Amino acid sequence: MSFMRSGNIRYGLIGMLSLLVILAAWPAADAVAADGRADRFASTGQEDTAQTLSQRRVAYHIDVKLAPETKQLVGSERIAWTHPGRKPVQELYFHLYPNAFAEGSTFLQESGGMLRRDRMDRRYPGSMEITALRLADGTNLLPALEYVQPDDGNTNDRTFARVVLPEPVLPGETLELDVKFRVQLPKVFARMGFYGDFVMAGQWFPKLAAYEVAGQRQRRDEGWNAHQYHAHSEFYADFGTYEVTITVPESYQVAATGRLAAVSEPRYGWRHWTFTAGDVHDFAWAASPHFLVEQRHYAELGPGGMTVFLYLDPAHQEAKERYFRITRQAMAKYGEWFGPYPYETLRIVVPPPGAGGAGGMEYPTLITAWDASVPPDSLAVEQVVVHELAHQYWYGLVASNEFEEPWLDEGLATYTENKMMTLIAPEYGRLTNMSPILEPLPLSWPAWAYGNDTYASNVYLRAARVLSGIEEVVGEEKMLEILRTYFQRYRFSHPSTADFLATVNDVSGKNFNDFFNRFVFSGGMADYRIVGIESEPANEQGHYRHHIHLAADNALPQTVPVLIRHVDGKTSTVMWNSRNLSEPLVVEGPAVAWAWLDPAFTNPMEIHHVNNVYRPVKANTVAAWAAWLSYWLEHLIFWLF
Amino acid sequence: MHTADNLLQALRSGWRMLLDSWSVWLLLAVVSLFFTGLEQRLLHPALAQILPRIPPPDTTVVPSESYVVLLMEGTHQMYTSEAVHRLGAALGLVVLLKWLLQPFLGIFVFSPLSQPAPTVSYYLLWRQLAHRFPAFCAVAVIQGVCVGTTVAGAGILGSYLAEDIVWAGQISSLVLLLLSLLAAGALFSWGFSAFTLWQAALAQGERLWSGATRALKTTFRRRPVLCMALPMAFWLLSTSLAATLQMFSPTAKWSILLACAWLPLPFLWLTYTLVAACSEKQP
Repeated sequence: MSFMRSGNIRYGLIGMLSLLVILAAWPAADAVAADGRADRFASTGQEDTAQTLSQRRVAYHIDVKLAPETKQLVGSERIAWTHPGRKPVQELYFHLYPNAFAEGSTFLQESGGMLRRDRMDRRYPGSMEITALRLADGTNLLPALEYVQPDDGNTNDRTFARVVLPEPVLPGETLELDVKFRVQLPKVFARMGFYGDFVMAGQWFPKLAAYEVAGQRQRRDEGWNAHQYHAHSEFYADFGTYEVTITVPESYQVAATGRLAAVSEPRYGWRHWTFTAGDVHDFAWAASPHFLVEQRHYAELGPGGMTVFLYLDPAHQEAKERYFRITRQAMAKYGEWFGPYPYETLRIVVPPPGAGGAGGMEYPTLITAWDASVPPDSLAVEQVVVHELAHQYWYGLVASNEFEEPWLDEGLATYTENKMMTLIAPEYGRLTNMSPILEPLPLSWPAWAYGNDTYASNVYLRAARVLSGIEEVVGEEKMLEILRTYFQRYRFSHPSTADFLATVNDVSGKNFNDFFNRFVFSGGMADYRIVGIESEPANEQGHYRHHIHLAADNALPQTVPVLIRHVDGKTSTVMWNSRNLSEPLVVEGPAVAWAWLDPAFTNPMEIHHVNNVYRPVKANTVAAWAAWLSYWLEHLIFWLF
Repeated sequence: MHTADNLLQALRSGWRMLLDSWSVWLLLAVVSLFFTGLEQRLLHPALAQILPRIPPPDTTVVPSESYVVLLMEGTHQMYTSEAVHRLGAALGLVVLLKWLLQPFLGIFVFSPLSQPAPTVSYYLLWRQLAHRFPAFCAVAVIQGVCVGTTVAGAGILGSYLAEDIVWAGQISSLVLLLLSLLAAGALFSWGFSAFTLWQAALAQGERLWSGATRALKTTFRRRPVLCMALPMAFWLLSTSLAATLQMFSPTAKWSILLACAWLPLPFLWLTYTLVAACSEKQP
């Protein structure tokens, strides 16, 4: 297959026929069936099948138009929400995510306008305005819309809003709403915005909050899961269906969640792209006139094969094959490990150099890679794809609550990434396990409870290490069985940490409650250390019997290597079983120069390595060091004052 | 040639004054020894904990990444450890004590400049300048604030640049760090000369602010190169000799004793040389 650009797509007869239809009715019917490529996708769209995969609680029909000059999105949507609970609902909650990029928002206060080393250009803020809000019968709800801040009371934050309904929605009833909105895109930052002609539209439409029924995520009473948009929070929503028509200048290519149902002929310089998706909980799109688009179909992936679309920035043209190769490899492996990926499409967007804020993000059936400023020969090309594809399972299909339990998604995605990357770069897992985690905190915290320095190190890295710790205890095969069971048992159902723990216990046949109390619900990690070495003369001259005293906090049943260097230069490795804490490790040989417990940091559950090293130091050596150091301190102070 | 002669003459003159006031050297050496002992007592328990944990450099059996991780973890632990905070506070108190002592020592150091005849008597040295004690206090306060601010600023800038170098591999930050070190050296040199000449002016009867003006004029206009180069040269020389002394001393105790005895010598020689070199009476 070859690259194709939007200008090269010509429709011939089908296009002419469609033009007639366009003239008859616009906009609904101007979206004609797209070329043969699009037709193929339409045949297996999940939303068209009689049996749905999820409990579709919400349906969005959205028309949105991009204004390239003003960098605005102007849209209207019809939301149909089916009440899944048992109690009448009197109020609705909406996420208005783009208001995170307006001054005073909680997002900007928490992040300081900086996320993942990407700084927001405050000259180009973002916002969202609801211009109309009506019930299907025409009742105007706009006056009843009020911004609420359930998490921090910051009255300048307008990312979350409530509407009190004139009549309650009864269980099982479907409520229909018509919403008109305008979004000012920020210069790309935190997954959203514009960068030159490139547009990344993530969290771009007024979106209903998730409604949780009693028992879901161990919730006692049903109700809305109501949270603002926080700096470190990602997303959580109910599964549903989306039909979205995106109007962009004719030169643009559009990548979006789901399948391309239709694309119109250019008319007055514009083109309408209609995408549909079922059993997904979000909808994102990206557009650019510069995308190089290519698709590949892999029949072996998923139940009915999978088509991978690559929207490549020209700067990464030489990495094209690598994107396809790693996607195929990763999705095959994930299918084998966890279960089949049920959607027919997968889109990968490579943002242009400089649009790093749009990079490295997952949406249902769409991911963004790092922006094209990343060297195309770097392993980061594979790493980001592997990570975001793992999210297709944990965020996209299992769909845990990323507001309140971000570790469940990010931790599992990072763990999966480490396993997958180790298959293609054997050193990867070892090096990732060496990343310092300086401030361990409980993993069960909500996203906004972490600081800028602690979110990623805990929610991604420590969580992945804790999962590796479970693997240490149960073995790799059993760990994959746990994850496969968790995925298949809870896909499309928003499980919680408690559900994950129940699966671990269930599949492993062991009780991991204490493990979770120590390492998930608290910030504990194993800490093995050498307390000291006592030596006594042995029978052989110049040899000693060394008693190496070891201690541990939060020990796991593990065998840990201890590397011992003797003064004669010889090195030996002794394996120490952490169950034998009360007994010193006894070795015989010349005097010990130093001993180092797990010097290669192979134990994923240990993050505190400073006390793993021990070298016997004589009292007069300490005194000499103290004397020299104090002299040089005095020397410095003497000259400075 | 003329400048070199002047410098040589100033060095000789400074050396003579140092010999004439050997009791000042003795006083400073005793004070240094006292503070070194104090700091040693504070550092000993911390080092007893740290030294056994310093990893042996052996990348043949230990992956090099382990050292990087240990460095990061160790640095973080230092920042967050209560014991290290306590040690820092105690060392801060030592510096404060030294700072409080500064005006007293200043009087002894600069008194020989205003003595009618050379003396080693502490009583005479003190009596000659005791009436300028408030002025010396003012200089010590200003010098302390300036040095404190500069050191803190350099520390913050240095850590910021170091973070940039480690995390982002910025070569520009490395260049900036080296330039900052050079600038800090130049500032130290100039500051040393300015404060020395200011106190010398006070000892010679100048009022507080006119003394400062005179010192600034001298360091900026009359002898800028000398004021910038001489302290740096003396400091480098003194540091290298102290390091050599330590290297060749049979025991740590002896090396510290010798180094503390040596410490005030170049300092006093430099002080008197600077005063002699910048004196307006000089040909």
